[in-house]
Amino acid sequence: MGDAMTDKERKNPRRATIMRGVVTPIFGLLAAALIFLGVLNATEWKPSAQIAATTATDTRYVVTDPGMLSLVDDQVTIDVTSESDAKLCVVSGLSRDISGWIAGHTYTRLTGLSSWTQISTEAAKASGDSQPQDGDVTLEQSDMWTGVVCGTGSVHIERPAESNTTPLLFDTNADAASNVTDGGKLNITLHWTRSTLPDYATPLYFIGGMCAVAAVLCASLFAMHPSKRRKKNANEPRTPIAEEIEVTIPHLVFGAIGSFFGSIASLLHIGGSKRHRRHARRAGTSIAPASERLSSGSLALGSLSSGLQPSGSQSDGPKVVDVTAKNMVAEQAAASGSSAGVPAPSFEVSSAETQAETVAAVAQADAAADGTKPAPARNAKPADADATSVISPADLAAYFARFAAEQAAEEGRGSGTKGLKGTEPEHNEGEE
Amino acid sequence: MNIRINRGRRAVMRIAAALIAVASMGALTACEGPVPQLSEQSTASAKTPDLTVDQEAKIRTNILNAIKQADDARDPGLLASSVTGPALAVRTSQINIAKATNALTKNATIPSEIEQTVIPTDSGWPRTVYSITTTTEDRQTQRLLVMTQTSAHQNYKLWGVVRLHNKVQLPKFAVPKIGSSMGRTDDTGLVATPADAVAHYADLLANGANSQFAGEFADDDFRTSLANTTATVQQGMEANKGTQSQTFSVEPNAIQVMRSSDGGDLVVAQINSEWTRQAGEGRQSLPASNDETALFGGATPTSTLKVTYVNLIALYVPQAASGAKIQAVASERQTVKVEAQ
Repeated sequence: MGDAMTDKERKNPRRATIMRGVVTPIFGLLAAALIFLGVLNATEWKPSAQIAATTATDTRYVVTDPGMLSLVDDQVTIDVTSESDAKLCVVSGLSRDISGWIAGHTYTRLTGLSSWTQISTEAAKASGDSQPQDGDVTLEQSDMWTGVVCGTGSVHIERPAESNTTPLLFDTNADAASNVTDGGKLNITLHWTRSTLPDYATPLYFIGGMCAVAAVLCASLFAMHPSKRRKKNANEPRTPIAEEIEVTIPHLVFGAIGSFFGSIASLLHIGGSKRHRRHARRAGTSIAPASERLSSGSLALGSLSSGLQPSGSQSDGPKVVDVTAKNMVAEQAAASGSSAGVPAPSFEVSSAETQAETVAAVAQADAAADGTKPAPARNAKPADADATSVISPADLAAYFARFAAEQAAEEGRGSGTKGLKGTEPEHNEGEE
Repeated sequence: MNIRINRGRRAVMRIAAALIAVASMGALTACEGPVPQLSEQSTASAKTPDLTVDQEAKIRTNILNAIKQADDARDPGLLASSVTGPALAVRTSQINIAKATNALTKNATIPSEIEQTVIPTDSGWPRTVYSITTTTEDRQTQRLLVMTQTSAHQNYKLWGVVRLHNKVQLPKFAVPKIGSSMGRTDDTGLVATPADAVAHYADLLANGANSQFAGEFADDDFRTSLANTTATVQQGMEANKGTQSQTFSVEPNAIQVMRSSDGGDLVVAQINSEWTRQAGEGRQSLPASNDETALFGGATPTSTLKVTYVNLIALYVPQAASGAKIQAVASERQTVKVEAQ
């Protein structure tokens, strides 16, 4: 115990030094940098809401792909300038109507955005015949279009959201016959105002906040040795379970001597928390944890791990006995001061993990068991698979013989013990 | 000194590294976001009506305005930009008659309001739009307007106007926002293909109850009225020991078909007819109505008078499985030419 304490005392300063001197500043710097970047992204580097993409074409007809106009936002403003003196018309209509109008012509498709400032284009040719017929109307006169804007030199169009699904057809030579292919150069600019901007600040704030929290934790909680944190938890008040008895560290450590106190404690039915019961089971296979537990200064006694539960509560989960909540000296005094009852067998098997040593210790304790109240009736089941795997057949046979003898002796002792048997909780072995 | 220099270098390098790190993080974070791309779905074209209701109203209003100008000016030449097909022949005749009589026939009235429009979803050309007007101010029945667009570079023109028969029920069509499909003249699955239905109806007009197709058609106002007129003229001709004969012929390619909601076709087709009346006993055959008189003008009558009509018939051809008969739901009959032979 003394060595362990020394090691921890030696290690703690180094751990704290690393956590507070290295890790904490790293997290702190990261937090500061990320939050700083977040602020920049929310202010100086905030994505621009105004998007203007341009392109230049030289075919008579230019057509926008369906959905292209609403690529960035539902509302779009189109500015078109033509270097030609011919009438420039921009019409809005169905794709099939546009295809019919430009049949036989090579045209330019506006296919999307190649960057935030550049419209991607593609050359295409519409199938069909472009021969004019009598009664042909101009693009402006055609009644297929849902919207027509014409001008000379430049055209400005504002398209509301509801009409933005229909594509646009630009004709740089709108008064010419249908078979004329000549067209002027066209500069097209699409303006969008983004209603929803990408938010890079919030994720940076969040990660920065996480780093800040991590820095604080590294400087405080993580700088402590785990044992200190655990000790702090051990001081929390627990609710004792009066009816539960467990095999605990005292049996393992003190052997035959401790079993005496342990049996007293078991007769007092003093339980503990689940957490410590789990530790107790681990302690059954290793001495080191037991010594560590004892080194914490809490002297634990009693508490046979039995899985005994009040009748009618068999469906409850495993009960844990808090071995640290026992005062061996006080319990010993209380036991000696009370009237002696009829000795009763008090063999318990805590769980599959209970080892042969535990059985031996308890068997020794049985002989000295003399509690203030009779021990509960028990029907030990030595056929437990795990238990038999570690208890030799010879031990098992010896146990059965002894058990049979004790049972016979108990039956001969009178009705007082029998009467108590029925009132005590039943043995619930192998609950785990 | 060396130690100080090294420390100074280290500090400078650290600061530089920190600046580079911050700058690189800034380059990573400060941008406009990914450039949006067009999805495949947005480029897929759905089957939508060729026109909106507003477009149809605008087209129809323009057409009616052009007709009104021609009516007011008594100038059929103004019709050509807005009217075509049988409607052009009919309206031209009506205006010519109006020039002689100084009054446009009441049958020529086209209400400006509509009860329903039937807009196709077909992508090619020609395209046809049906519009059913309200009743006229003088309680005449509704008009079924047929407007066609022959090519992308042509505008819609009024192709035909028929007056609905009394107490007939037009088939139901999809609402304009959904649109209807244009039928074809050889649509199958019907009592008869639209082209055959029109041909059979022409035979029925020529032969009456003796037509082999008489069983295919339900009774209608048009045939009843025509039979009555023919019987009346026949009585007069018999009194004068004259003869009369009528021929009916389907105008080629003058047929429009629209698919109704229940799978039938509403067919509007032009059937031309000639009525030849020959007076007996050396008498002259004179025009028999004001319209004929107006169109005959000052021509010299002879013993034989040939009157040419444009008949526009709207037939509803139901599905074969329905067991219903073909029903003439609307018609127009207009004298277009009167000549002595």
